[in-house]
Amino acid sequence: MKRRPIYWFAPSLFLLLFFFYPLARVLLLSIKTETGTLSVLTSLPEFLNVLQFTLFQAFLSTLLTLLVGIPIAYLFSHFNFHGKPLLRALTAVPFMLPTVVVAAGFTALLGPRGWVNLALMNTFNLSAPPITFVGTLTAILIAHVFYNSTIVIRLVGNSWAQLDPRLAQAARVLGADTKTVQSRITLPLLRPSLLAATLLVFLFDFTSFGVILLLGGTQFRTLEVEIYIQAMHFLNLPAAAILSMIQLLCTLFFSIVYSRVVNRSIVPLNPRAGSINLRPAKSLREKLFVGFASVFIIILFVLPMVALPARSVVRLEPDRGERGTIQPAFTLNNYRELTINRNGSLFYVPPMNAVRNSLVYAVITVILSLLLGFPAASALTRPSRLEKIVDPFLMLPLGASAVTLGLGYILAFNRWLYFPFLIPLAHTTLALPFVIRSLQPALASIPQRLRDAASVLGASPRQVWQSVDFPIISRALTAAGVFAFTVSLGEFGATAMLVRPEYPTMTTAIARFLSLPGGLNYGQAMAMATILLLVTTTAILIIEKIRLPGSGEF
Amino acid sequence: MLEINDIHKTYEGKPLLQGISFTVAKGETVCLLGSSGSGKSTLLRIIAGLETAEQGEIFWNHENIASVPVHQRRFGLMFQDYALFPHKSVQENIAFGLEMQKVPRSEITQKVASSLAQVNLQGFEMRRVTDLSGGEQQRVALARALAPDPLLLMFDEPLGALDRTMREHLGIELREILHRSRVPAIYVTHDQEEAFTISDTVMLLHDGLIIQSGPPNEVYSHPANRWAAEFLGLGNLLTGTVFHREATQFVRTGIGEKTLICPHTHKGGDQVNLLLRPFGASLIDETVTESILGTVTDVLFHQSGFKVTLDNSLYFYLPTAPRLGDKVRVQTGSLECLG
Repeated sequence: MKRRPIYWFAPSLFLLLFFFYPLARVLLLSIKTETGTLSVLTSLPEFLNVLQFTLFQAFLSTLLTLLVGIPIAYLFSHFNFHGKPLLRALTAVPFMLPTVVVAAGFTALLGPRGWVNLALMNTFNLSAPPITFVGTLTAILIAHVFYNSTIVIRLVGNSWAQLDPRLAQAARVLGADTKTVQSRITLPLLRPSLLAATLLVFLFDFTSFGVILLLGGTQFRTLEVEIYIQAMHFLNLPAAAILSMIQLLCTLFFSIVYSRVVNRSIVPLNPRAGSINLRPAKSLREKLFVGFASVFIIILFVLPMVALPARSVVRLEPDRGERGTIQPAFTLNNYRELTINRNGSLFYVPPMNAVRNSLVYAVITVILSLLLGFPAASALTRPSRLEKIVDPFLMLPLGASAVTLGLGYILAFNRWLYFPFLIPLAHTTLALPFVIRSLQPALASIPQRLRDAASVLGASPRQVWQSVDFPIISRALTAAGVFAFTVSLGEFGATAMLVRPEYPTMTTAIARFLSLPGGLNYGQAMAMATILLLVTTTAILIIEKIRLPGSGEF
Repeated sequence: MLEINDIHKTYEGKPLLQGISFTVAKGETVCLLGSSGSGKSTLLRIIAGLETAEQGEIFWNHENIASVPVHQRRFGLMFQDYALFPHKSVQENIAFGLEMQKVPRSEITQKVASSLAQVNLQGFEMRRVTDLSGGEQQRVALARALAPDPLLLMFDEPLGALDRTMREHLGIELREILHRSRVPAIYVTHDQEEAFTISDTVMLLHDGLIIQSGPPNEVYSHPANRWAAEFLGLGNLLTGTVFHREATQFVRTGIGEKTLICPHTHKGGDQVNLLLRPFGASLIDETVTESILGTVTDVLFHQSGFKVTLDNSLYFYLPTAPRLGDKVRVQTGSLECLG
């Protein structure tokens, strides 16, 4: 028998050390908390409230996301129109944007200093912003819809696009009217993807952290936020650990429900080419639908992301000595301020250092996750029995809460907490599933026949690798690397738990700026969020461009 | 029963159907034969009501059915790869049309069973359609189309996805079922053998028009034009120039001067298309007027004899095989004029 190198050994060891061990410490603490029981017990009703709110907002967010996502999925799967590829790409961007950027974007649009309020104040000569957005449930819900609609659009849209139109036609010929066709043919056939999307969106809304912390204000707390507050503000680690366990059990429960429901409702279809249902809008009703939906997409997905960079280069404060009405003017001051270490500034270091730190962490994450992910993906391409068992464990970090992971690091590595490189280790843990899932389909997509053909044509093993494997793999490696880069750059939950004041990252700096009053802070938040937005959007576009068809959709 | 009158349809700006008219009588099976892209499937979809024609009418028992929506026409349509509902069992698939007609439950069960018996799939009720073989799926699709007693049955290349033996077998079975049920049927295919097996009337569709229509044997023995003869693969196609000698029509071709047997009279100098069938040919030694001289370039064994190709690119089926390179003289049937 050919000896197989144990490719998955290093990644497994890494996850054991930097994922399972920290979580085990959280579990341990939550079980044997006796010293702190009293304080934990007294706050139990409060925790139940938090759990209740977490479920409530997740349910509401999911419902709204479906309401928004399904029509857009229909739009993209049924109609051809001008600008569709661009619109489609735009709807894909939010899902991968860092939460702090999303929060900053909505603040730039609807916050007290945002465009809408400014416009209203100017038009009606008001002295105070008329719309309160930040700190409301509405803000949380809208941000969640903005974030997760992509899942519905992609999952439901894809299966809708591949739905054989002749099934509906067959039903029509057999005597079914359009309503009956919808209820008895289309809906049952879409059910698996609808269920999958619903549960996935619910899971993401349930574990939402940054959106709630930054847009919900102080009055709304989900489990994730409560863990953070208990650990970082009250230094009540036992309480945080117990909350983490509740959270983990819930996500585990939803994940099991997810895989069960999805597996059971799978309908074997012969998928048709994705373009089979596509046609231009013909009737007036269809044209109106395409028009309204496009405008809606632009309002929901584009406005916040345009408002942010636009707001970052506009100042409102009159110059010293001047008084009177606010005159918006172009300025690069916000960006200039980023390089200045003002006395009494947040971190006692120039904010630009945050950019540098983030980039260093991201590069380390890319290198580590590729080094670990590539061998794991190679092993999983032709898995032995053991490797088949290992596979789901490698994927587990995908469902884990980042804040809980951060808590685990605090418990497990408390002696090294001053060591700034714990953050890229946490990022690698979180990025690894994405990297493996990006590489694996590409590696598996290389048919042995291709290699055989090259060898028969006279290529040496090295030449085979060079001419067959490498061109395919290099694309996937780039995509996976960019993926890891984006994950690290935008990660907020674990970073917020582990960050050292002298080594701020972009996400924590933006979050800090956003939470403080004053025009300067606001401007700096806008400026830095804009930088992060540009970097991530570029990365997302690169991934979209080089992604192999059919690989790595999440 | 069904009367189609002057149907026009364009596809992406190009004319697809340019005035199709025909009728289907009770118990008749009409076969639309045409190459892919000829618009034959579109014609079926127009009749079913899934698409609308830009011009022309469709009458059912002399009533214009333009305004009747698909689901109220009570026409059956069998799709190319069957379009069985993947989320329903065999039973549920076949019952669907009956449920739409609000047939009582007990009756549906009975009807499904008898439909399955009709297509030789007794006891398949509880199977998943995705687990069935291609042939079984085809039968379920047929049972589903038959179960609600459609007024008219339409088939869109129903055997296209099956292998050759299966296709021949099911073709014959389909013919029997159609004759037994006496449902008028329109059958669309690009396979002429299938068309000749199944239909009472064959219609050749080309360039948006019906080129020829008639019983299979008539279409076979009198192709309407060069395209028809070529499409049906009837034999060697030649062109020639007509000339007259003592009141007899002759034609000058690449293989010599031959008598022209044609009901029409042609003027001298007319260009005509000619068909030389490959069957009934034999090797001879002496010079006979209607014989062809050539060198053998290819010999291929075939069920109906050896297919021998000569250097003038004509081919014939001969009972014995000459050797490659042999100079042979072939006695053939006469040239048929295609006008």
